[in-house]
Amino acid sequence: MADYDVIIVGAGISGAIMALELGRQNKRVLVLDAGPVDPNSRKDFQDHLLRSVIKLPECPYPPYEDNPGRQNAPRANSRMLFKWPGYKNPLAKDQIYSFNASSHLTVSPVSQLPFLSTYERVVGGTTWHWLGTCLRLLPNDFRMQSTYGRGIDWPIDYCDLVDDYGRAEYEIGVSANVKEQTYLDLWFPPGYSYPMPPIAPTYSDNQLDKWMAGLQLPWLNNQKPRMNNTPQARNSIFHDGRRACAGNTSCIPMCPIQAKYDATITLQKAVNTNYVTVQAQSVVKKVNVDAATHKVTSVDVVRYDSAAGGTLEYETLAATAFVIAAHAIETPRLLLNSISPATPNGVANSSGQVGQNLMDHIVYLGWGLSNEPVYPNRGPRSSGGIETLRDGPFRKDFAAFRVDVGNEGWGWADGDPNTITNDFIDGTNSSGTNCKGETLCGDALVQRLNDKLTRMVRFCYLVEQLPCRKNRVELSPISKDGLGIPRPQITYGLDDYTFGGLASAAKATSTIFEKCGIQNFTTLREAKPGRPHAGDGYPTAVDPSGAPYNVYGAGHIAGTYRMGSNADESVVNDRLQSHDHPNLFLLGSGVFPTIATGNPTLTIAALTYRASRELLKQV
Amino acid sequence: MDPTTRLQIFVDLVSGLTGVSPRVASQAQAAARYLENYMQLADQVAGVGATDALLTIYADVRKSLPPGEAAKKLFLGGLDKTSPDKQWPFSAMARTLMKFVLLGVWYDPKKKDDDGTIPTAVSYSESLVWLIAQAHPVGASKLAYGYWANPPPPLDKLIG
Repeated sequence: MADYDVIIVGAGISGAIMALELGRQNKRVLVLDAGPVDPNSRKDFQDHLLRSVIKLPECPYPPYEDNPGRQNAPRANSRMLFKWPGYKNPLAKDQIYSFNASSHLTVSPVSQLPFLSTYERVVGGTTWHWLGTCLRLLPNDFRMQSTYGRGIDWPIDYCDLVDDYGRAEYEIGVSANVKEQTYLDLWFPPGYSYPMPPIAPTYSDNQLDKWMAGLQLPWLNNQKPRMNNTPQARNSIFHDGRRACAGNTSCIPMCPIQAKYDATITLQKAVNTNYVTVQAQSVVKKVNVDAATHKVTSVDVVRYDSAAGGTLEYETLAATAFVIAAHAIETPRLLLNSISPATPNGVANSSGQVGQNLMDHIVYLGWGLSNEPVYPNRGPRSSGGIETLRDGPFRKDFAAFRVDVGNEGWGWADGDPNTITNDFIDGTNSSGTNCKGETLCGDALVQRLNDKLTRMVRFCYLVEQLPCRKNRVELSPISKDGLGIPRPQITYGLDDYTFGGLASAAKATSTIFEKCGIQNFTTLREAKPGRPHAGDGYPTAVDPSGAPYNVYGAGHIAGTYRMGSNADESVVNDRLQSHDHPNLFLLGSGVFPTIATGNPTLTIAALTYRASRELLKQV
Repeated sequence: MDPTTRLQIFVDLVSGLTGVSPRVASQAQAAARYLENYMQLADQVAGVGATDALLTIYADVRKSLPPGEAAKKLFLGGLDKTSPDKQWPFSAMARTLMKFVLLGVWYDPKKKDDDGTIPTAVSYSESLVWLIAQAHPVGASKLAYGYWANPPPPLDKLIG
């Protein structure tokens, strides 16, 4: 008899939901996670957040150093992107080697860009630092090839997922209003309502909606941009034993009061079934397959007791079925590292698709100063966005986007309030708002800072990327982590379709800002004075016409073990079961055939419910 | 300098440099101990007594000028001739102090292009720029659900 009915690798949202579904059916489940457990008090993480000058998504969480060659479970860190050589740097190719020495995500010599997004390796996964956006994908997101002749179709459509979306919204706890989410062919079952009423829009959202009323965007099929309340995984009322959002504006990197959902909530419910055990600091190094039955038999695990070095314990754990839910970079890394005579290309990889088609939403940031105060940095980091631009016939020609309207001023775009404060004290103009080089103190400083800081607006465009085999995760032939496991090696770049979406985003920024009376301060971020080469520190993509764009990741890592009906072209079927190994299920946005136009987590959760029903047939 | 006098001058100087009232500066100081933290860091840079020298010269000017004007004179370098450390004169010390209490960030004057450090979580959560922005520090709201739907209290209620 196997040690467990099911072993789940990864304690993020999909691993947690799967564990809960299995535990409720009295299945013996072991959840392994590479990272440490969450602390007894999230104040430990909050202190790291408060003490970080630049509040990057990873800043509250371990490991706190970048030493991936020594660490047992290193992770990607946005901080590394500041070290990326600039696009004008003639020595850029040489500098990639030094970049790779300190970045867990290494880059291949032919890559245009580093990978722009990160993820956590900690129990609870990346839901610790997610924004909490819970949009459903649009019906047309599932059929990009048949509708627009782009990308590929999913093997399922919106109808197949609609009930699981509801289950996911209730487990996560989503605040929204059905009427407001019924757009672009989205529909809900009769009588459906979200578990909580919508989060109150910010003052800024209401002002912007008023100002943009009446605008049409001709190149986007005359769509009318309006502010739409975002379905959010944060409590608008006391719910599920947790208090309502207190508006800390720190959803990314963390909610200090857990009003925002994270996967530790579901994981605790799973543990409470008494059938689920969570084992942290346990890195799965290899998946073992029986050559005769093609079933997965066991996993090789390394347990560690400190971030780097320390005592290591090795064990091989068996189960009836296996789930890998380690996100779209660590999952293919594990599969590709699991080479044996039975699996010469790695586990679940007879199609050769494991690691291919790496996608993200490419972020374009637009920022400006409104005519009147909008009072950012009060309330959730974002409570609304522009959703009506997510679909239309223009998707035949260039990428669509949704617009996340930020509530953190220019915090992301410009590092404010620090940058502007330093400008008006020192007489510099890094923010672009101190053209006269004023050096101010006292009342004059207050007036100037208050005038600028209360009028800051930031739009974040999440631009689609098509699946492309060139964009991929492989095992680094050179770099290994502290356990001797090859680190991920990324090859990544943008195609004309996405560049078209970036150009459209830039145009939308100017057009919407002009209508709203917002002075556009969007600018290409280049090197600080004194750095050797312009562009250093801001990954920049250059389109075929030579136009440069600063590009950022959205953390929406997808596509690297995609689902499909054809086993030659995909890794899992429409129930997330490996085509090659019937007792192996792969969860997470790695199964997405296309990136679509919504933030992925809700769909990850919904697909997990779908997979759980199939898995329960086996155990 | 005796501790009580030092604290009084420090609060007066912070108020003059940043434009917040002595009441607000005093509250932030009580929570975040900016004086103690600044003195430790500044005296490491410029030698023991550097912070007291800054406060003493400011106190001298204050005898004849109101806080805003005295602080401005210091800020604009009008007292730099008497600075004991020519590499880090009084005006530069004042700017570092302003950033320290406005942002909670210590920018090391000896490091070129220093990205800064925040000595304690409270240094950040009590930092004054957020009041000037009529907002709250990221990750440290003291308010309750829904406050964000309406405009904040007037600026003078927050910093006056």
